[in-house]
Amino acid sequence: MNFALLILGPPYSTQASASALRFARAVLAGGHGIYRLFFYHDGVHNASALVSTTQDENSLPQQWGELIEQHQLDSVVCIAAATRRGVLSEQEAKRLGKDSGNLNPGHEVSGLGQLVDASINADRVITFG
Amino acid sequence: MDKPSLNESTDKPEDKNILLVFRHAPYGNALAREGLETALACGAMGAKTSVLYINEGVWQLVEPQNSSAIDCKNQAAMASALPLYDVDAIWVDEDSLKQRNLTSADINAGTIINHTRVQALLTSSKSILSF
Repeated sequence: MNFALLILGPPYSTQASASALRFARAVLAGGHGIYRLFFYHDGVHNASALVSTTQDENSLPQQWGELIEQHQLDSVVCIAAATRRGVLSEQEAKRLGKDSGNLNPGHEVSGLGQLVDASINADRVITFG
Repeated sequence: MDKPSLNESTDKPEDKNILLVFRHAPYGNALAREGLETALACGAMGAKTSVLYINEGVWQLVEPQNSSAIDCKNQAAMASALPLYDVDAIWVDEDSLKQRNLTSADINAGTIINHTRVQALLTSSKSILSF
């Protein structure tokens, strides 16, 4: 089965993102596929390269990045939601006259159309928020 | 308003209907606004889209609401754009209204349905996005 995950929760503040990450790992371990990860609402903070944690705590953005790289997952961050919250690709940062971008590699910024596409083409969409 | 059948179930791509469930109050959190933006995007892309207002989400449809007092866009006014994006299936949970002492006279859009029909809607929808 092909899953799409809609992640609305930020790292740290709530459990939503951590649950989504564990669910994604379980999906893959169970031999299923992930059609797309879509980070929206406060979930866009999971794609921030500036998130820093102490050594005895897990960094969700880092763990998401590792999972995406390991399994070559399609990960999309909503550009409108991310821009409002200060999560910018280098390209967006330049366009908006900011000093630098802060988007973790592995993610792509795109529009809500990617969520609509996932809702149509994945077998299941699971919301974490 | 035409009432779409609630018992459609098919695997054909063109019939893959998307249901957006709005569960949160209109202000205090951007979920309501960003959920509605998703519904408009679904409609704009021609996806077969339904929306369900339930629990605190029913407050999103209450009129009048003066959101300019808190520098926010009016959520009920934004919701009234749904039909312009071909999202005509707008459902409101009857129990959620009753629990909040609201009636059909208090909301500006949607068809009120009981919990049996809410269950049918959730069962028949191919993809459910929850905001």
